[in-house]
Amino acid sequence: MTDQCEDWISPKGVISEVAAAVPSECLGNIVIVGSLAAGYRFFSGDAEQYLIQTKDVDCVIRPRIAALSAGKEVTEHLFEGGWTYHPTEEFPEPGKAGDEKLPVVRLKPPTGGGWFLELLTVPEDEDDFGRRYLTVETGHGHFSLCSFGGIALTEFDPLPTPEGIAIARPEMMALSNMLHHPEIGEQRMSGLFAGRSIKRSNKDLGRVLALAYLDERRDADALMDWGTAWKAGLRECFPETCEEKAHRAGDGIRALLESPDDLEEAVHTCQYGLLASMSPSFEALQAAGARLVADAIEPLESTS
Amino acid sequence: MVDAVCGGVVIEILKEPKELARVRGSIFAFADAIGHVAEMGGSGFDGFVILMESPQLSTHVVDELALSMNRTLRPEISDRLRLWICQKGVVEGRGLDDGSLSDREAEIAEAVLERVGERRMSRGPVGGDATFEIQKLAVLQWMQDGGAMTPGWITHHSGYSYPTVSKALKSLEESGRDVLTRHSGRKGVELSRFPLGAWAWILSRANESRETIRFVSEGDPRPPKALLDRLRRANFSHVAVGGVDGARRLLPSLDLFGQPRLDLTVHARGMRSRDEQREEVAEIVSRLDPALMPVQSAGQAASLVVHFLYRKTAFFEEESGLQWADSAECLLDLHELGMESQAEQFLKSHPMATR
Repeated sequence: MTDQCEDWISPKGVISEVAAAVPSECLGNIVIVGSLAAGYRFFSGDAEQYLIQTKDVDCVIRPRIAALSAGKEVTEHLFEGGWTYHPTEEFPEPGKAGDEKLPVVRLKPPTGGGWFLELLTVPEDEDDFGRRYLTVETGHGHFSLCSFGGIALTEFDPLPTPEGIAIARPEMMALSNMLHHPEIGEQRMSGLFAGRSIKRSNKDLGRVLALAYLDERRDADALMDWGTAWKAGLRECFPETCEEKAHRAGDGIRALLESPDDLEEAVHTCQYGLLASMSPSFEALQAAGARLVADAIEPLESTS
Repeated sequence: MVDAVCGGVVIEILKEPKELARVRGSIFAFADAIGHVAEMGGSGFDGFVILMESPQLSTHVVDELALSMNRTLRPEISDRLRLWICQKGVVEGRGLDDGSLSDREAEIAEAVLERVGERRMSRGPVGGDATFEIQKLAVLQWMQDGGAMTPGWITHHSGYSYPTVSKALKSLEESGRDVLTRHSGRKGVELSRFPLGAWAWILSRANESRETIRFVSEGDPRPPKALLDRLRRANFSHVAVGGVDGARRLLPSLDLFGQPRLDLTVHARGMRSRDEQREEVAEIVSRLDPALMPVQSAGQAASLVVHFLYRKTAFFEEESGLQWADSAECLLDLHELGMESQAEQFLKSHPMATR
């Protein structure tokens, strides 16, 4: 197993690099999600003080109707700009016509660094909640764009940046993860996380705690706005199933908070991931979880 | 502290322990007791158990502690000491045990948990410390320049019987020369001056009689202002703001920068039991900040402090969407905070204090 914690990166620096490399006409089609988006939102004013540890820079191509054309254009433009394919054990090189399974677009910047850019997209409709792949044929190989249900929320009202590329709202990334994990699953991440084998759900739900911790630290009442934003996002992205989703949105987080072993794993991923610069205690993240339930999840459940 | 002795087994129950130090302290207390009994040559008890109810510690941490205990303690001690965990009604052993209890151990665990549960439920109705409450009421009446109090007025507002009121007033009268004036006829009694001796006694009893509970945040504490905003939104009619905020409302020029913590006074008179009282506090605290937990050790700076008020009439005042505690409660809170000069300034701001 390889360890998935990589180099320290500056969120603002990496977003600037990505924005400069992507063709300008496609900037509006991209929303940055994941730890880079969170790092930019919360740490960009302290670029020198706060760095984050991540290896993947996830970019969602939207809207779905433009995913094929924009995905193709971005991929080709980056290859032509000196970006290189990031091989994996399963896919040592780009795919080709006729391949049954295709690699996702994972490209390393010409400037080096321990990170790579990965392209994703949003699902076709709200019933399309599982993991799906869309084939993109480029002059540099065939790839797939991955989509899954909750990621649709990340394109809801994204935050613009001066660099010209939008980032997903922290509360929407949190809700996306929460919907993806209504319980603590047994599946473990393929690699080690800072030396430890971690359940996938603990890592993703741990991210929810980290986002809540950061936003609450910024503003003591911030989480009270999350429930309202979640409600609007669910109505927009899942008009048919928004109520059902609202009622079960908190199940995974509650399960995590009630399981000290799983919570400890989640805290480990925060301390060595997004929150590595500040390394909050177990108790601090437990507190963030309790506040998230009271301020955001319970109001969402009671008004839906 | 031993909670039960059952079937020859001595049991201490730790409810929702969060800190390893707390469990470790119980282990060493038991180890010391076992060693002492062994040295005295007594056969003592069959075993000693620390039963953790819904621990907030990971099983990994508890197992490590159990292993460390077995490595550190002498075998004649560690062989008789057990760590049990109760999660969602299921009790299991940790450490060197295979986890499952014997039938006899399971019966003991069930009996003890049932007995302790009943004991928690059966604590008596809430009454408060009558002398403390009545004397505090007299001080409040004096601070507010309320004039004489008839026995009927005191029994009505304090909620205590006439003999109890008489006894409390007699004690107040004896606390200092000419401190209490008894008017002729049915006009009643009133304080002639601030009763320094009685107040010193009230201060010494305040922590216990008000059953003060201090809370500290497990994470970054929420600022007192944020707690106050949430209290306003919660709209509790039986919870009033005291402390520095309450004193500042009455004396805006109070010589103090900042807001060290939020002090609340909960009117507990109508509560039927200690359990109801505890549940009420849990509800209030969860509305203000679910991350607040009772202070476990000295030295932790509380961000929220809750006091109980047991007299019948609360004398809370409503203003700006909040209930506010009376002058006497605020004065007690300032003393409790160690703000002696501010307490003196606050007391002197009341007209009676300067006459």
